[in-house]
Amino acid sequence: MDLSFGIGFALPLALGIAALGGGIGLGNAVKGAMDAIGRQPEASGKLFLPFVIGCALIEALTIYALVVWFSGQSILTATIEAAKAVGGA
Amino acid sequence: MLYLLLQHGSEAAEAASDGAAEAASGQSEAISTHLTNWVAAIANYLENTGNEHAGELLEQFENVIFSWIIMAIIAIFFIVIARNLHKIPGRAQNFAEYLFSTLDNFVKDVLGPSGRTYVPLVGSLFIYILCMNLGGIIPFGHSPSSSLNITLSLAICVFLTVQIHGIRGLGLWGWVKHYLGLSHKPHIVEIILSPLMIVLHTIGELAKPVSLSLRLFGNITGEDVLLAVFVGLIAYLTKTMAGHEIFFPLQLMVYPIVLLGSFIQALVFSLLTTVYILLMSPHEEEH
Repeated sequence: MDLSFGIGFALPLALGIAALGGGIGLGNAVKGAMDAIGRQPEASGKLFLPFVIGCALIEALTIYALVVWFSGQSILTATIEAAKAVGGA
Repeated sequence: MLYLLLQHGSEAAEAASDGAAEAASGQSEAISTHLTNWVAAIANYLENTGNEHAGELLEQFENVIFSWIIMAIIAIFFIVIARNLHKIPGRAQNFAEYLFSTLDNFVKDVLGPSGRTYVPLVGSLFIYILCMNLGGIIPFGHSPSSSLNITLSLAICVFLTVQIHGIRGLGLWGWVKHYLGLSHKPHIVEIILSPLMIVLHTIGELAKPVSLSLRLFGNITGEDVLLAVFVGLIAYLTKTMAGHEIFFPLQLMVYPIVLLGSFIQALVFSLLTTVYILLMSPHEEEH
């Protein structure tokens, strides 16, 4: 077990866990919005903007995990190249 | 020119379907995650024909060139409309007036009537970021906001605007008091807690441009990768099954998600700018 195995195992898992948390949070937000619209259908115009802001803020946390994926992927390929160079040379 | 694009694109597709790690400059995966664009094609041609430095220079300035092109298109469009204003508007002027009135009402709803000074900033941010995000959908185009440099510079502009608005609106001492968490008549408990509050508020304030830039960067890069993977998928599948690539535009299936995401990210960036300006404005009996 070396660095590339560790990164290769942890990165997709991290993204999956972040997506799980984001999904639960967004589900709660949409539930709240649906309840409010069902209670008062004519307020749906006023509700749209805070709903979109809330969803974007929750989504941002999942996107941070995606950013970790991109930077981790470059580290992963660099580690694999270095290991190949050491193993081949 | 079209020949260069097709050559570079087919090189990338060949590398994708062969799974050749050597040809794809260090990426050891079967489907490449980047679509080619015309600046990258020219840079590739320059590198292959011996002008190494010119090719590398052009590749570094890829995002700048695309953002300048988008800026020029937006500016020329709106300047030409504004030069020939009629009493009864034609289609273009009607569209520009609709856009302006929507953004104007939106900013005035959040910031109040004195928020009129920030309508140019918020409106330009919205239009510019929307056009930048949509640049990735145009064939052989590239969205500059998929690079952290561009999104971070926009977020730093927003950060400086918010701080200068705070200093101008609250005064220098009022701005420092906002960070210390002291209200108009400081309670003794607030003065005792102020070292903690300054750390909290500073970190919160610094987290705002970081989250703005990372949100836009991550979303648009994700859309780019989605498009590239859908483009390479058909090439890879047909290469392994039929021996040669068959053209099928599978990425059209993904266009609704990409359009929705681009629009929402532009909206959220400008909306959060407005909200941050609102939070830094003088507010009575709020804290």
